[in-house]
Amino acid sequence: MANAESAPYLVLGETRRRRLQARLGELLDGWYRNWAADPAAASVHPELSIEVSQGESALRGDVWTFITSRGDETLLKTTVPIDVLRVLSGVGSAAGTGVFTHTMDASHADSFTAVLTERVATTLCTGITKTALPAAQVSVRRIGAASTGGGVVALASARRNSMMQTLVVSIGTDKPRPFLELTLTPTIIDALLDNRPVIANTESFTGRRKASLEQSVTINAVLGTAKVSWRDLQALCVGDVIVLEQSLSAPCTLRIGADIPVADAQLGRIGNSLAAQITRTHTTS
Amino acid sequence: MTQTVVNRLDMPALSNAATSKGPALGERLDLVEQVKVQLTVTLGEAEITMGRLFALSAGEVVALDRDADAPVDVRLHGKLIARGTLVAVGDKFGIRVTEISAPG
Repeated sequence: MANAESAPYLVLGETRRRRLQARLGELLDGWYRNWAADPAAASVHPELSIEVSQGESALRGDVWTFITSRGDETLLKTTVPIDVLRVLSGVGSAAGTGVFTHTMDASHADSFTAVLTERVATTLCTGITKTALPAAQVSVRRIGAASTGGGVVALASARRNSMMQTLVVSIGTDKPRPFLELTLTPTIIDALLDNRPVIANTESFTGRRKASLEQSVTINAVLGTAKVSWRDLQALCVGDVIVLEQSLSAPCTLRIGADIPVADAQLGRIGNSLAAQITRTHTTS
Repeated sequence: MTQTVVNRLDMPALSNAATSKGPALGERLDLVEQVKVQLTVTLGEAEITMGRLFALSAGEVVALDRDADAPVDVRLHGKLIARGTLVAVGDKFGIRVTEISAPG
């Protein structure tokens, strides 16, 4: 079962990260169970815990890196140990997966493991991207050493973009072992998260939304602006007239705080109080 | 043909931890006299619920927390620097300054 640990508090972006974590948890859980066709193998290790790391994990052993692209755009980087099958089996031997049904010598087994690892990883990469972008034509390629692949270099520089997420997938029951690292670009994160229910329990969200509607916000009515020189500002005196950039027919702007415009309005009065009548709302950001 | 020699330019490594500091520039106001600053004129505020905010639409009237004849605020980076009355200067709005805010 895929799961995500609960956080004692939410920091900026944490909700989105946890949504991504849960979404990939579902995907990987389904992929794992589908791949490990032997129900017995799947039932032995039912726990698939997904953890979000701040950086790259130290995957043990030799690893392969796969880049999933749509045209020239990199969507996903996947790093897996070559013996991913053994990790998946959780028993230290690929034989435990049920995939190896024939006896073979060690050299053949290593070769077969490598071939299957590539196939498994490719299937996973395609599965994730096709789930996110069903109509996209994607390609998966395995690259050589991590430091030489062009896609990896591009991704590494893009990693500085805080919208990138690196997920380390661990598997196991007693002592989960990292077996997969996924780095997702904003494109695929957006595709995975958008158009899907943010919160499964709509009732709880409705309650929160209703409660938040009672929260007060301060709206500022801004008439306009004027640019003056520092010299004029220093010499400003009572009686001076500051000419604004706005014409008499221009609307004033209602803002949340100082920066967020929400509506244009016509200035007027209600009784003895100043008032603003909305002429246009800013329905898009 | 003229031959131009192009040499590599090595930039020295810099650090803020200078061993001996010279005199500071000081408040040379003459340097910034022509620098333009943007003043914002605000008419007033209204406190409304988020529910009403989301329901705002054209035609709705929001009452502000100021009397119609009260002076408006002139702000620089959010800080109140002056107040004044609304006037028309040609086809533009203008503010006749009636009070200058005390510094601080």
